[in-house]
Amino acid sequence: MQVLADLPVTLIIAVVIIALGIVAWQAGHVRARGLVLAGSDRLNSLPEYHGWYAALLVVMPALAVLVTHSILSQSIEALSGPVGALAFGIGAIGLSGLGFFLSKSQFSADFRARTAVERWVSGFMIGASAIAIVTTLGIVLSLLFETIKFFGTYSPLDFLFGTQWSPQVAIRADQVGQSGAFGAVPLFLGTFLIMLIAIVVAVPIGLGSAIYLSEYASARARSLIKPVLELLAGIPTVVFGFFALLTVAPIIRALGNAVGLDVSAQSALAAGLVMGIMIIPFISSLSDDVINAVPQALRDGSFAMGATKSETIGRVVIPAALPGIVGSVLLAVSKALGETMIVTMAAGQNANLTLNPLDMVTTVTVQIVTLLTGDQEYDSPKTQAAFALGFVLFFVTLILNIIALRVVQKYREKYD
Amino acid sequence: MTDPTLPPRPSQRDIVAANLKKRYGAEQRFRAFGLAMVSIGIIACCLLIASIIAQSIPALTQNRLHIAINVSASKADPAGKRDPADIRQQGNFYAMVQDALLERFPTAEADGSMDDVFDLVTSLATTPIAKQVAANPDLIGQDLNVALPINDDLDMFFKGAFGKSVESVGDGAITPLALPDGTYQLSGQGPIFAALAPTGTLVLDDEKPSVFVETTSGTFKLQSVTATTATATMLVRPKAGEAASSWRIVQIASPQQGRAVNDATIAFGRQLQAQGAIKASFNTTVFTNSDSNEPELAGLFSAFIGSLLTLAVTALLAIPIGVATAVYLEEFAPKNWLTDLIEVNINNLAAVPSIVFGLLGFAVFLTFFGMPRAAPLVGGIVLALMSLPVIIIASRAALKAVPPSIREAALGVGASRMQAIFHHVLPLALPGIMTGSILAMAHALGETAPLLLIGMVAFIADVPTSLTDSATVLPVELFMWAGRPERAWEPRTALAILALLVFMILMNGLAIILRRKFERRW
Repeated sequence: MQVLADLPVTLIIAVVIIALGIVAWQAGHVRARGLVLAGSDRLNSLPEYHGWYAALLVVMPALAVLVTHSILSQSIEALSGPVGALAFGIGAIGLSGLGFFLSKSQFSADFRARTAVERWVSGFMIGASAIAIVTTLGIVLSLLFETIKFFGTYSPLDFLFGTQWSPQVAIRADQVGQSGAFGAVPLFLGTFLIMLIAIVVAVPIGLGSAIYLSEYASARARSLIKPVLELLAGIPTVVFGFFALLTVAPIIRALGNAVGLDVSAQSALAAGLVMGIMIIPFISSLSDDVINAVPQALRDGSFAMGATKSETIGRVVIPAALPGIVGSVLLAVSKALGETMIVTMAAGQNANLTLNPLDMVTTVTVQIVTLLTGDQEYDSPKTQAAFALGFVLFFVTLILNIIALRVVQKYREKYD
Repeated sequence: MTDPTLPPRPSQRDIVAANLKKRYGAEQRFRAFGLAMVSIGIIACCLLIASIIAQSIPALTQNRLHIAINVSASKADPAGKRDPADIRQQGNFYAMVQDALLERFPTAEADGSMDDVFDLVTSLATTPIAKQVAANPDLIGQDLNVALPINDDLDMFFKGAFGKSVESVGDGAITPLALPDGTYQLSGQGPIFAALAPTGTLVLDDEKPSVFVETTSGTFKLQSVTATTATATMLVRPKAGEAASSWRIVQIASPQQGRAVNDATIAFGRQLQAQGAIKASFNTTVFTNSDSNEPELAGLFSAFIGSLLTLAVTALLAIPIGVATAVYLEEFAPKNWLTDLIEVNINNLAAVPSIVFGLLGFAVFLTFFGMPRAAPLVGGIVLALMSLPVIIIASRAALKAVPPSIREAALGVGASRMQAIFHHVLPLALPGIMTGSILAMAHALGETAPLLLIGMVAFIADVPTSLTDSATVLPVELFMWAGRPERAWEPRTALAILALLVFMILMNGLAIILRRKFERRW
């Protein structure tokens, strides 16, 4: 048994089962092919479907047994050893054999192997589609579950409207346990402040670029400049965080000191500026799309009335594209609210209740990371507070996304 | 009755003409504004890349100490059994390096500067020697040439992180004269220090940048200088009988207090550099080593393997499931409330902040299913769930682009719907699907936030060998490096970013090639 302990028993058995599946495919194929070669009646299905049918019967139930075992062994101690793995493995191989004989006994020229195989494939595809739903359900339930637990010990009103955020220390002597104050207003304000700076940076640059590229730039300039802006969208956010922390923040600090302002090493301004750069492509490429979708007839009509290009853009194209542009800005806002790495690296962790962009602020996402990356037990109020913050974040971004997607879709339908 | 005299009505033409200049001006300004915005965007992008490249340059090379050590049996294998495990665990290879260094500076022990000599190289740097000797015990008893990365602070000093040192060749001969209080008086013929102190006495205390006088094999640190003489402390004792005519003044750019490496260690390092024993070469350590607390020994290898394992799990889960979902929704699903719900759901899932997927991983996979923390398996699953919507949306677009005539032709010759899709439509949509999938994988490679929450932000010195080992990934590794205090981490982090960007550019390039090569317009 000692030897077995080192071997990945389940893995070896899985390989054996797949090998059996290949054998079964061959057997099924040869069986059907034999009938064809013998010149008997026309088969209902092509030989390879008979092969696939046999292989599925051999592999699928057996693999299901192995997967069940590996899930059960996480929680049931008795099954986790090599003996359990071996027992289930032998059972699985037995099931493969059974599947093999079943497929053999079902075989005939009239057997609808293709329909059966297609039913399996269809089942797999439906199962795959369900994963998206299950993911959303998992997100909503896990967030909701922990948030409700958190609100069992901490008042939701104190959480949503409290102005002191200090999860580490108890604020009253008679407080139960070691939980601190979870008043999230400083976090909401900090998140809002950084988002606002980012939007103020990104909207003029993103929208200006989109207008220039779609209305003024030559096709050649457009094909050169657009990829550069889209490159920004492909850069990992942790790289922007590094840029904010080690390049932008020191520059802002030096500039601030030069004019006699006291700038903290991690300021909301640095994080917001860099986040603004990060979301430029989200605004510019979506706005570019919607501006291009405005029918040329509208522009031509305006030109025919003698309007200049900028007048046409300002009074015809932009109003026509406005819903789409608003949608793209909303998506950018939701992106800025949920962005984590830039603020974790460059915004700091002090929950200051301030709107001064030169101060250190903290955000919802920073606090989620801070609360969940330390060493603590799962059921502490601190981890639950992280989920409550996550729930607020999810809820707000979800609403923004739904509105934005709906607005953009409505707009597309208008001109399509 | 007189007609009221009306002022002449301006014609429309005059109104237009009067405003025309203003309107054209506005046009020009608007255009300039657009151009300015595009330029700012491009400048920001270039600044980002350029600053990272500039910051990474110091990490490209590494100063190494090339020295011959004697692998003595008593130090390498105290147990004497020539057992590789014994050699690795009990062999004291750092002591051999210390011996070799003392051989170069025989008087350091007597002068009390032994610790400064040993500061040149950390003991962890000798681990590769231990491995080498353990793999080949025949080396015991022989001389071995080794190249060890030097202390990161000294390395940064040599690369000019604490300012550039200025050297000037000394004039004539110089004679150090030992004074009773242990300091030295340096003098020569005439005003040899005129460049430092033309008139009066210059006192160099600890807050002033250090000034060295280096002879062929010794180094003195000046304390006070006049034009003709200087008092100094000895940092490296000169060899007896060396030529007095060859010497130089070295002005270090920073005072001893402002840097993490002291004057004595710099003096020994400079002497070894002059002898050719410390040489800069391409920094391979950062690519071949795993994480370490010592910047000069830290590398990205374990994080790279972690990224590879994580991404493999992500690709194996997300691509098949994503493509299957896309095919089902696009080709088979009946139009009803359930499929509408799935569709709305997928579009919204694509815009959920990535950190929420980290919360999901924490609550469901770590806590509910009890999967191991920091495992590539869990990281891969979380990233797969995150990339699924992106892959589904891209795949659906690719399937939609295949014209219906292909399906109809296949159905017309008697194929089943499944055969029409899998034999004809899907192969034609495959380039688009692969492009979308590769872009999604590139995005997953750079994702950090959700992995922090499932514990991948840990110190991993071992290369992960299975999907359930503790591991970290490239972006998380560079996040950790960026947060460490020593200055030497900064260029290494920038270099790690460049490595990450190279991988992402390769993946994006592959996607572009696929699109160019196989894209079909119908």
